[in-house]
Amino acid sequence: MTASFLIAFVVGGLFCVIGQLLFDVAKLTPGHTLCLLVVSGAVLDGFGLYEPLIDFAGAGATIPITSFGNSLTHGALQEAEKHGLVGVITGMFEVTSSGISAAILFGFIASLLFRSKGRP
Amino acid sequence: MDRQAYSQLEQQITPKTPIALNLVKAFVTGGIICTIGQGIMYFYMYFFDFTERTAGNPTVATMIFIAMLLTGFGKYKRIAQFGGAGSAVPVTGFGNAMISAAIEHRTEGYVLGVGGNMFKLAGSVIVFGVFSAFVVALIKTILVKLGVVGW
Amino acid sequence: MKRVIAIAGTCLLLAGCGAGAGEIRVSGGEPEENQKVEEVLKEKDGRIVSAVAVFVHEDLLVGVQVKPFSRFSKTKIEEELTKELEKAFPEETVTLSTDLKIFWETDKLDELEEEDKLHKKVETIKSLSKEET
Repeated sequence: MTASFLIAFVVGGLFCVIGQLLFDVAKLTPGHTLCLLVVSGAVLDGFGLYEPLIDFAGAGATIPITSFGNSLTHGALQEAEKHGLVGVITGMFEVTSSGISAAILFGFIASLLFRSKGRP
Repeated sequence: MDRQAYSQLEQQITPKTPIALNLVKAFVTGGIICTIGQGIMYFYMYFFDFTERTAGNPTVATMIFIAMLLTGFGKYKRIAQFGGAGSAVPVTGFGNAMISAAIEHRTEGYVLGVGGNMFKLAGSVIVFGVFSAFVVALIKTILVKLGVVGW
Repeated sequence: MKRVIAIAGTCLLLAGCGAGAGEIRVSGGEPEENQKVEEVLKEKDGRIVSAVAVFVHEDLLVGVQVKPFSRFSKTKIEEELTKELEKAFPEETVTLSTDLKIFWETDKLDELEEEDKLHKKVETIKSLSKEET
């Protein structure tokens, strides 16, 4: 159990180091960096590499934004596996990521609850 | 002052980004966020009927809920200043981007302000996520149909 | 800040010491059957940290914990072990999982006495192990 916390720490930290390298060394904007990470998550799932990583690192792999790409691709692939090529298209309208829905929901709730403090 | 001299002067004055230090900060911040996530995941597994596979979804939602509280009380900014990518790469950073945009544009009304601006920063992530998922799924399905790879 | 680190450190230390040692526990079946399950699980000993197996009527429920670096190949280990156990016990329905949740729930099965609750729990474990994201 302790080992899984440690692994989550290290793997999650390494994802963030990759992000920081893209910030500082490749001089990408945060937007570009996040998009790149999401796309790489989708591609990794295409090769079937992201699920083993989740098995290994737990939250260390599900918390970084790469898991968005993974869960979207995973949903699409599951549909595709059932219904073939048509499944890819119909699957795209079924896939959701809990992160996106949660962000929309809590974003709206936050706008009801909190007031902007103005720019610092 | 010509252009060359100016750029030289600019390079002298602007502080060099301490890359090594930034990397360590990002590693620690991101690591701590993921460790908290792991704790929440175990909480859901222990008290509810979630397995390691399915506990990821409620965990992500809870992390974004925490991000909402931190953003609302203005604490996430400080974490972001310290952690850099360490606070941006986890989903909390994505949540923060959407939530802070929603709070900030509330004065413009709920439909045009909140609804319209929420996706201003985070929208590109969703667009590229969905599109890349489509392309990857399409390529893989075609490859499977051709018999190059298995599922 | 220092206090937080101190508390976190103590928690980690306590958790580390509290973790159970590697063991394989089988119950609910005939002694020979129990022995057999243990043998099958021991064959893969290099990767398994601990395991719980319980016989309930027609069901054989197994929760397995693998070593951290073997977790990459969790699905493969699951398939292999399920196949071997099915070969060894053709008349039982084998439900095997490397998931921590299944491990916990199977562990709790032993304490249940009432037939009703036992049956319910078995069904829950089975449906949980089939679930996917």
